[in-house]
Amino acid sequence: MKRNISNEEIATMLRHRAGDRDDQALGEVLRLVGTTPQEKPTWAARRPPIRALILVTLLAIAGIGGAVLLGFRPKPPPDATLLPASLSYSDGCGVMRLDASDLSGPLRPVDAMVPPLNGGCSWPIAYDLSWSGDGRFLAYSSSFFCGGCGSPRAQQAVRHSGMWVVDTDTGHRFQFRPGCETPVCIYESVVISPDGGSLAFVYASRYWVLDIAANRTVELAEAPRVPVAAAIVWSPDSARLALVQNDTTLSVISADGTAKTTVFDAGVDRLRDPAWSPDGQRIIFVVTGSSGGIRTIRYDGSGLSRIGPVGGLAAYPTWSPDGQSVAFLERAPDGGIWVMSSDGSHARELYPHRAGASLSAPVWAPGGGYLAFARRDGLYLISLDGTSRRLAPQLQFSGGFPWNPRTPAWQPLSASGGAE
Amino acid sequence: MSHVAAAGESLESLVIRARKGDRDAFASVVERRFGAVFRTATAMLGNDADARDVVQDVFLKAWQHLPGLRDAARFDAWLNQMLRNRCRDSLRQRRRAREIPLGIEDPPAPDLIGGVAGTSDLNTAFERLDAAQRQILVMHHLHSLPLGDLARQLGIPVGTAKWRLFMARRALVRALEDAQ
Repeated sequence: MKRNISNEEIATMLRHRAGDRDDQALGEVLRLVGTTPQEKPTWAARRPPIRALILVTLLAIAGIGGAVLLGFRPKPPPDATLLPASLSYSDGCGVMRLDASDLSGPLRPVDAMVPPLNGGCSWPIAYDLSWSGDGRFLAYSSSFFCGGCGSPRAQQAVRHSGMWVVDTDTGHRFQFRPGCETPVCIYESVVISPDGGSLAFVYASRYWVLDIAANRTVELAEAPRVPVAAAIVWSPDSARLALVQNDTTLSVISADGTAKTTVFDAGVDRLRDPAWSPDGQRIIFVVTGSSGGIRTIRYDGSGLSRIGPVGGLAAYPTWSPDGQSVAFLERAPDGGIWVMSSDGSHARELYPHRAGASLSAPVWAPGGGYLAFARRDGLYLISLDGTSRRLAPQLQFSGGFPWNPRTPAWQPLSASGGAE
Repeated sequence: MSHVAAAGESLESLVIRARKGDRDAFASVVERRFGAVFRTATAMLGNDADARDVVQDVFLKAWQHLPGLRDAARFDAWLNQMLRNRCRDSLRQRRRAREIPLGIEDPPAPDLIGGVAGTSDLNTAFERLDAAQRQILVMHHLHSLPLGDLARQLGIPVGTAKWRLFMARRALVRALEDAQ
């Protein structure tokens, strides 16, 4: 049978094959390079991983011991006062939601907010879950690849691709595919504004903002060719966005795209993972490389400071809801999830590395007493005293392919929003 | 002895310093190229466990053999050639592993498309391509590299890149027709 394949079909198939950004794999390479000589291969150089990993382990043990001796003392856990919340995540069967109003007890499944099509646990796959500040609107993106796209089942999934906003008050769901002229279009780094009125996203290597009510898009700036997680983030008042350009520059731009300010240029190093402080005054981000680390800066470009003991291998720093603490991931073979005060003091590894776990970015629960994160074998919750437990297991599809629960996102439950 | 890189330092300059043994410069090179290389490897191989091994090997080999790279401007082409060769080895190992008569059925390979969509003809067709065909399709269609950049990244003339891309697409179409 004669068959034509569009560029978009190939791109979509390849995107699904391409793995998630793997920061711990990057950290592993950097560590191994740091311990591998640059000479002609000897028997040791031909077999670097085993020797290097032993050395890395010894160095890590020595490093942790040294850090303790130098005075990094664990901070007592703050009062884990909780706000009502639910925890949503994508697990390949749609978007699931757990009642997390009492995190000390077992979490109760609430619903599948976006149920699987045709009753099967295959699609839609939801990415980039985010909630509006009042917990009413959920946004996510969905893309789908099909070989022939001929079956009704495949056609249904193709029609589902795009950006979605779910109104949990009314149960209505809205699909957006701005600029899309092919069956499947790929929208990345999708995030809803705290006021629930707009979506920021990356499409066709550009940053855009979509006014949801008016269904109108505004182009903001050029985006990295290989999109990174959290490349664009809303300020808490929804008035402006912080975004990464050229992998090196942090910019702040008004939501209407009219006023853009370059806040920081990392020069030769890469800049990543910006996040706003809860009061909207500062942005935290990571500069990679040997002289890198976690930095914070005011959104007008003043008041730059470097915080924390982990250098350029830090990732996904995020302020606690009260702005007093920062959690982040260490991208290293032996790196885990860290918590420290917002000035960088009292740093401690809250969740140590587990071999092959490949941890995701930690996300604070609304009350600040817990963090949620995904690892290869499930979705986890950890309290600030270091107690962790698995909330949702890894799924196995019929073909044996394991699918991790991913992109945990907390839904704050206020007067207008709520899980039944 | 290493020194902090100057702002805006080019990749070529970093490679030259790394070639002399500057680990910090090479770390900056890895940071710049890791995302694209990892994504290329996972798309070529179809699972991230193999890709992690391949990418780790590629960057370690790059570090070890960098003093032998004469022209720093050809670093990308050199790196992509190593990636292609290492992916080819990985695919061969995978095929050999499946030929061993264990008397039991091999567990299904972790196949994202097959697992998720269930209708993965195009993915199955892609699995039939060789490493070079996979690489050029990934670089052009996943990373959206125009032909000029594609040629530079692969270290070949633009006309050759265009021809190889055409042939890779044709191979994909034929594999898809066979699959159906």
